Amino acid sequence: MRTAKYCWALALAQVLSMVGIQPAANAYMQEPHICNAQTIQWKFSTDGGWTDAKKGWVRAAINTLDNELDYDGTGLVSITESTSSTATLVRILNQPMAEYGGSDCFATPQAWVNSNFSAAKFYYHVGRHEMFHLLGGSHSGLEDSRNGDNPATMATCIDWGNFSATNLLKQDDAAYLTWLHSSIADRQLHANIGFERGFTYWGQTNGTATVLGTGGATGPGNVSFLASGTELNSYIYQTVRLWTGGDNASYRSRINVKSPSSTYTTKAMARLYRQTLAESGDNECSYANGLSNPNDATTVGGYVILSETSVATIGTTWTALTGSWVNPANTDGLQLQIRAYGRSTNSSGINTPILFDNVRGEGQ
Amino acid sequence: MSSHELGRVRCSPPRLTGTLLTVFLTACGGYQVALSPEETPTDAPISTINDVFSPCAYPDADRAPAFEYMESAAGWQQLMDVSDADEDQTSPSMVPSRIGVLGEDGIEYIDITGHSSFWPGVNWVLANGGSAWAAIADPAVYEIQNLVLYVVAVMKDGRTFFPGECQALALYSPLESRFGEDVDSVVRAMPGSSPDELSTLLGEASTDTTASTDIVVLNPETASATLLDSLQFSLVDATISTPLGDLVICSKSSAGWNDCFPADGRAADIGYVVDAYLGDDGVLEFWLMNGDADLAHPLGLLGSIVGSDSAGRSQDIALLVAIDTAGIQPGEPVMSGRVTLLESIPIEKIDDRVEHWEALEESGMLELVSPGDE
Repeated sequence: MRTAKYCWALALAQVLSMVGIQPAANAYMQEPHICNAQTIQWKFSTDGGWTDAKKGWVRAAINTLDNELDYDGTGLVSITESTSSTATLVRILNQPMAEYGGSDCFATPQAWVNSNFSAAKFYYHVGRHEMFHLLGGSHSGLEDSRNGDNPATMATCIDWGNFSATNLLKQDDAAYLTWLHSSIADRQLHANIGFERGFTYWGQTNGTATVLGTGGATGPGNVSFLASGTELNSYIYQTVRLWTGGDNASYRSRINVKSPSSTYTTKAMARLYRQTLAESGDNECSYANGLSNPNDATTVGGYVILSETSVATIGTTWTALTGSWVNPANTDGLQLQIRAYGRSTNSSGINTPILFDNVRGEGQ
Repeated sequence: MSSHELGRVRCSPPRLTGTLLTVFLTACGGYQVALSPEETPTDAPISTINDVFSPCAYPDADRAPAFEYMESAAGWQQLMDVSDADEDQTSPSMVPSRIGVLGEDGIEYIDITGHSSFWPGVNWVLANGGSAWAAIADPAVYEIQNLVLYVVAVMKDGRTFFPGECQALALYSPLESRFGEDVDSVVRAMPGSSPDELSTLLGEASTDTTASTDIVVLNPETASATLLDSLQFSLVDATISTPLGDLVICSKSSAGWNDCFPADGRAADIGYVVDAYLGDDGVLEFWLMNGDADLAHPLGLLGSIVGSDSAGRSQDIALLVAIDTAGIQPGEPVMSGRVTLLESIPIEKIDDRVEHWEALEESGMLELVSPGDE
């Protein structure tokens, strides 16, 4: 009975704590999970199910979260293995095969994985998924916004056989981590916005992008983009998939841009497009914001202009181009495509590279 | 605050100890019940039976997709004697056991690997005139012979349950949500079924993630660079005569759908410049869409223009277009012939139309922040 009383106390403590930390109502995508740590010290438990291989897989999965960078090159989160007695325990439990893992940020913070699997991909996915819960991640849909690239880390209700054998963050995972923990005000919608991890997650149209390791607007990374067309049809882009559910949010485009020379004519523009996503059915799994099965997703529509800037003439100092906030009608989800357009021309009219940094959509 | 969130409070995991099951019912829901299998009456509510034989220390665990998991059973064994497997419940775990199953000549004893929390419920149901089956995993997937995925127990009165840690929450609850009062008849039909038969029986909802396959969206995220490179790129500078609220206008060529723009006040006052890829015929159609730009269900064709012909494809072009949107009413048919091509110019010339962008800035709809960032 003492245990029962202890549980009552815990429940009361949780209710009280939750009253004080309800997330903002206007956040887009998934509301932050009730856990929302940015810094975690963790250690493996002494549970009997651990092997060196399983520890290695889980450790590698957790490290992918720790590797992701904010716009200025600083870490988005700090997750370090520790021997501290207060470190979050990463446990391994002997459970039936239907039980994959779990996490808990109350009482005794911990994450756990099932000991009864032998495949690395199980421990990659579940280990990262449970640690992502502690970082604030709620469940997402199956598919990453990059076609065929799934499942995203926070996808749930996925048979373990479909987990990725490659231990990498998906694009939307990185975007979600940025949304949760970037130090920029407002919610940052895209991944690797400062090019601090190279050109990862980005695409280009009508031009050639080269990542530079020095001279960014913030942090060292930035992109030199040589347009082959004009400032209206040459751009870099990134699309992220956001499950908005019942959220009611506004979005805008925002980029940093710079001319390489005062003798060049440099023009640039930022645009944010939206594409509607719809879920269907109910897979009986747990999602935030009234969603019931984002694993069964359809892209409904075309890409519609949501927020854009004018075509601006750019000088040799970093300049921020910012579109206006726009609040689209509620949908199950959105794919948001940010595009940074630009061209620089020399006195002979020959295209020369323009510089981009911190390219992203924002939400509030 | 949802019950899901409340359920995250953790308490000491209930464990099966010997023949006694100490069950903390919703520890955090507030009461405690201790029942042994022997004390559990066969006419107890199914919720009580689940509490006794399927306790769950981690109710908010991340789990396998219930229906896909149940449908993956590659074989079945009818359980006749699990008394040896049930001996040690001090720390339930997935362990090899020797159990009796129904063979062609009666009870045969085989070696299986199953979670020891399965067996108290099996012993109880067999002792009370019921039956039980083990769902066996595909050894090619799990690399273990005779691995028990889950156990189906059928009581003498026909009611069913899934014995074992968290099995009620993981498997029975989703079935009950889907089938309601028919859940027992569905579960009784599961033993002996093949994966295909289980899929039909359980009526698994599709989890395929697909875009509309017959709709081509000419966007670099969804269309191949080869396709886009084969098409003539153009910019459309479009204005409308009358705002249409939340509706959207999209252009379409013979190659697919292009970018869309809102048919809003800005479209009427200033216009939008959007990308458009032209097919071989150079024809560009303009369609009125709902606010989601639902390409499968356009509201009506506003009209079309010929943006170029095959002889005019030497350079990218900009098309200045006016769309007459006057008189369009929600829910009424849209008459075509509303689109006029005002001018076709080299794309290099379009940003000479500085008044377009100046008007945008003056409108206050755009911000230009300079210098720096963050």
